[in-house]
Amino acid sequence: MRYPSQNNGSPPGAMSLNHAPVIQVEQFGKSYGDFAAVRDLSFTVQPGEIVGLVGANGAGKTTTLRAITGILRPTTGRILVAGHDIEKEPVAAKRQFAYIPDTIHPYDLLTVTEHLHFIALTYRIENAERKYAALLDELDLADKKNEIASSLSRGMLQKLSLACAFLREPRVVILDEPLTGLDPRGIRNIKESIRSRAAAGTAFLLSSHLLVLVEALCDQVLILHAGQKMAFGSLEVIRDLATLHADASLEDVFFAVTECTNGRPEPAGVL
Amino acid sequence: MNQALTYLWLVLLKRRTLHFIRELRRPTTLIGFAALALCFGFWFHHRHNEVFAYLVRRDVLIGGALLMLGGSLLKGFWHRGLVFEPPDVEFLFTSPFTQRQIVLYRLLPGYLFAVVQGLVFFALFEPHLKHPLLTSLCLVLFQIACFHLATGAAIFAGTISEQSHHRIRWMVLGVCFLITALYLRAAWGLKLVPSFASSPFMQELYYPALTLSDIASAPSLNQWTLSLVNNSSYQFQVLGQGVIYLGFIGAVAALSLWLLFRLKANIFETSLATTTRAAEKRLRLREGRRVVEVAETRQDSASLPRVPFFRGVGAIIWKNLVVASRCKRELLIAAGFTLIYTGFLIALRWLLHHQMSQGGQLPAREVREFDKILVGLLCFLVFILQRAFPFDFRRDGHHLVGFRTLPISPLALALAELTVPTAFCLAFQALGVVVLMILSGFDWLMMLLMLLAFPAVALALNGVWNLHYLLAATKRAGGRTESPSPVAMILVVALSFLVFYPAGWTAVQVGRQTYGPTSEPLAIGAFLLIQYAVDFLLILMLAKLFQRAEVSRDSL
Repeated sequence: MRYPSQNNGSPPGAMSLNHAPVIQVEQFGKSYGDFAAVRDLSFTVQPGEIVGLVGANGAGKTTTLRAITGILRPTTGRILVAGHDIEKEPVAAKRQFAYIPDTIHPYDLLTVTEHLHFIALTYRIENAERKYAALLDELDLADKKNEIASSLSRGMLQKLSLACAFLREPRVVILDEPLTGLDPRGIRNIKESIRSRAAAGTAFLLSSHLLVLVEALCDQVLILHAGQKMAFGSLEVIRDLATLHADASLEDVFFAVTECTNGRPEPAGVL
Repeated sequence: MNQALTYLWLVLLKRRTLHFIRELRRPTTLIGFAALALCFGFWFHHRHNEVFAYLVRRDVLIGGALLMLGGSLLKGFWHRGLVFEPPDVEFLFTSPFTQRQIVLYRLLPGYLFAVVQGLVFFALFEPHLKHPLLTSLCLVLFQIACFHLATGAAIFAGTISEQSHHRIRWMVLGVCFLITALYLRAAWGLKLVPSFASSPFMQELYYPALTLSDIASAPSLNQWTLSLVNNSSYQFQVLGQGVIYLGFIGAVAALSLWLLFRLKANIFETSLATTTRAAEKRLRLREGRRVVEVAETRQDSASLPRVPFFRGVGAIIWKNLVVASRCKRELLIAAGFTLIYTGFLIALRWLLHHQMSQGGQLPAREVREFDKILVGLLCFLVFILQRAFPFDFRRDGHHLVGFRTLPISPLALALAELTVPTAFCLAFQALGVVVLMILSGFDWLMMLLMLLAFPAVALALNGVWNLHYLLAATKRAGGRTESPSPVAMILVVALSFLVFYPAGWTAVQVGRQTYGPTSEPLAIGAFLLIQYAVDFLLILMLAKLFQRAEVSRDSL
């Protein structure tokens, strides 16, 4: 069973922003010795699009995100970020995105404000201090601005990480499990922040196990299984192609796609 | 001993041994192991040397025994609770084992260590002992008794309040210091406590307490210490005497174990806290984080710097400077050490200066040579100082992956990381240089040498230690659990010297090939040229290694 992709389709919220893709993954593969973590993966992310990356543990989500960010070197294929090859022009490519990993490690002895200073200096952001207040307010961090970051809770660290990402106004934000450790208000605030920034043209590529979040937030969904692309497209398209009923949830779609052919998934090939 | 615990211990021992053997395939581990084996082989080959006979003299052995006893007591008491492996807390503490069984399980590695230590002792000192087997057995049992003492001290420390523990800890340290001082004074005639401390005036302050000299000059003690020193080597005169000693020490070991089991204290709660603390400390060290937690969680944030130097890659330098400013404890220790070290050098130069002003004659060439040695020693200060300023990759171990996403070239990043520790080393050296300049009045060549050579040396040493750290980090990132090993440390120390070999060798060759007044400047020039080239290579290697630091496949 194969599910064709719909990667040229634009998300509803970003119809007018359909320029060159901000992320272009072509035939990407990553192997560790004999073990292939990801095989032959291709997809694109358009400006203003929110793409959700879902898959079971070990499916290759984090490997894919880390390869896009230049942390891992692809074994095969190439990855372009805003037109820059991450291997050949790493510095130019890295100026275009912000990456928030699943585990956040702050600088032990820097305060929240100093983390923002560090990002402002590294990315040469002009008049950065003017943006701090709005960002810290938006993420409920205003009263923590002089706290040493290592004393912050997991949720607060997540917010600090988002503040550092949003400060640099990147063309694409890459998030690995973005809502881990956040309280309900924090989750709602961050969802709103992501939506508003996406409407303004920032693309988001997020990986999560929370299928409900992906369903509510994402325009496109990329399903990975055992290192292979199983499906890519809007939920409606994947749902239709998986021959599921119209109100089937992403969870239903996910299991239908990944557990087909008696639990042995069939790769989607060129979707 | 419980059967399950014995099984667990044996399986873990087997696994660790096999793991170690497998690790020998790695060149660095193999070189380290071969170095240790060669070292032991060298000692074994020369075991008939009189140095070994000296080491089994009574006074030396008694000193060693005191050291073992004091060390065990301190080490145990310092921990405040037994340190277990983190999985032990999860599996053993919640399983139906008695406290005695768990304590015995905890002692098993110690017993193994004691046996191995006894075997090494037997192998090396056998030619100098009349009854080597008995003496080695005595050592094994004494070491076991010491482990019991340490365990008992750790358990007892867990039963008292934190404030009392803090006070008693320093008291125990004081007692250990006093016993050491007493031993050194009585047996070897070394005065650890300055004489003014035992002067009549000072004795009045402690009256009617006994002073160190009162004890040391007591007739019975003097007689005993004389008998210790007069004996050439520690040998049981007859077999019976040896058996009595063995029986006595064996009884002490058994009694100490019995007393340990009689201790009415709950080990679980304190051990949990101590184990967690120790595991966290190990993790922090491995990840290059600060071992001590920050006491003040709220700080005044530094303002955003306006200097263009701190933009782009300069942000790394700014960040490391802010981190350094928050590590006042480390900076104070380094400053104290620098003051002592440079103070010694300055005192030497002042002594020469003073002697010469009093009419002492010394040829100008020899004075210059003396100054050169002082400058060399001041240059060597970096070797120790760089450990005090880990404001580079060593402190950023946790962020290596994050750094890979920054829009900065790896070479620039490696250079930026080395900037702060190198600058700190140079700043601390500068203090000594200024004072020496006042006393010596260096010529232009020496000034130029210091100005150019000190940064080259500081850069090289910081580069080597960062290289070591990054190598370990890339192995960790590759999924291997790397922890700092003593062998790796020895290799890095050796490399810290070898890194100057090419430049030093070239300088010597240039010096030999050239004659006249230009010889020295040419040799210095060659040294600097080669050393800066080596530094550049080191930075390149750092950049390459940083690029290689991929994340583990475990976290796919």
